[in-house]
Amino acid sequence: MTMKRSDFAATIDHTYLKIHRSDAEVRRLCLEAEKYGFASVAVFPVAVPLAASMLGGTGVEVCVALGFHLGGYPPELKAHETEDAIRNGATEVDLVMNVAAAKAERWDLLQEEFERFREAAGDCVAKIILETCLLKDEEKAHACRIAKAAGLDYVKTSTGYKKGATVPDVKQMNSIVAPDLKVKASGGIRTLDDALAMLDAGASRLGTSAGASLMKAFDERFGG
Amino acid sequence: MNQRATPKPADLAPYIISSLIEADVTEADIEAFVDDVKPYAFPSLAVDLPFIDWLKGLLAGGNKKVTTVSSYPLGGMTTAVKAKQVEYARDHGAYDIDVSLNYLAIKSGDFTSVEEEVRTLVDTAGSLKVVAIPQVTILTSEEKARVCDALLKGGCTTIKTASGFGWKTEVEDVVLIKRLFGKDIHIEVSGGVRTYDDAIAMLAAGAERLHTSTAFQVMKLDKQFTYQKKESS
Repeated sequence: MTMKRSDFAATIDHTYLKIHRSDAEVRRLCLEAEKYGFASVAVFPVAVPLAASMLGGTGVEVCVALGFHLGGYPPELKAHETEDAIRNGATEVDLVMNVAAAKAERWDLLQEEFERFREAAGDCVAKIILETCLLKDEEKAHACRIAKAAGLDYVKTSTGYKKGATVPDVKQMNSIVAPDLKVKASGGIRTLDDALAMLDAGASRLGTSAGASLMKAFDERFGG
Repeated sequence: MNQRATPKPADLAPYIISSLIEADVTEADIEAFVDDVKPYAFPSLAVDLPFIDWLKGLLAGGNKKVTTVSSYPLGGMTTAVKAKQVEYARDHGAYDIDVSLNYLAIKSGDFTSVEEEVRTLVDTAGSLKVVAIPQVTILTSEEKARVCDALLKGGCTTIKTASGFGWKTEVEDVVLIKRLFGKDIHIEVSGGVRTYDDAIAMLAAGAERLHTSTAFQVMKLDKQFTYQKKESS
């Protein structure tokens, strides 16, 4: 069964997570997101005020990428970063988790981090990034369970700075967190086949910088 | 070091800041790293914020200092968040903190913001030394000059040229900044120091410190860091 064009567009977080070097690039992203009806525009905190000023009233969320891309600092700093981004206009928050804590089996630290993130995010959609390529299956599973217990909204696969999402990762994450939480697949989603495979595997959101070309490919295949 | 003889590979250690900053680095990795570097006169080891006090404990009694990072390596964080990180590093006793700047402001020509940000951070830092990362790899010559000027006005006198992770520094970058700012700016080079020849060229151009994750290779030592062995296995 084919998805509706607008439903497909609404899975996409239109993403700019290279080193920010151009206001024009942020503006282009915002205009495209409004045009296609993407879920959000995802940028770094320094670009949140501009994105928020452009997206107000469009229905497109302002998604901010926090902790990028190494995620290696303490929960109180991450909570502060989350609150700061929301004050500046972010409506969805994607945070890189403390991967090292998982590697050291410091699940208490991850729990504290996720709980403080939830609290700091308030009513905003909160997504925790696992950086799955660095984790073993049981480490991913454990992180997913902690995210579920902390009441986050999404578990997200990758920052895009290392190996990206895989179908098995998305399936595994979804099997643990659904239906309470959703899964965002990100990193390496370049083609329509990549995107559809992630959605088939159970992803509800796609983090990609290829949004415009994905829409073009969608129209070519399914006739808009 | 122009007036001095070219250092031999084994004499490079005092110029090298060896770093172990990656998402999955644990205390066990850093412990092995400290064992790896103990015999060498590296002045400082760079780790991420949560490891500062713990690493200070490991290094107690020696001469090595602890370097840490803020908004690293992408520079996407706001001044408020960087200030909080600087405060944390200060309170936990790091020696210096490498801060990625706001590249969106720099590339938009907004050097006033850069100056104001660095002033805020230097004020917050107290005795903690703030090292600014202009990320020369993505800057024009004019931007390199203007960002250094803004840093000096804001009270920061040491730069780390780039953040590594693929962002490289050329010898010409060091030459340019040295020519324009002379002794006013201390230059630490990062990004692209892989070999002894790289290191010597950067020092000859006026760099005072070299950041590298391959210090042993630079010193022509036939050994690997434990963490890198783990990565490549």
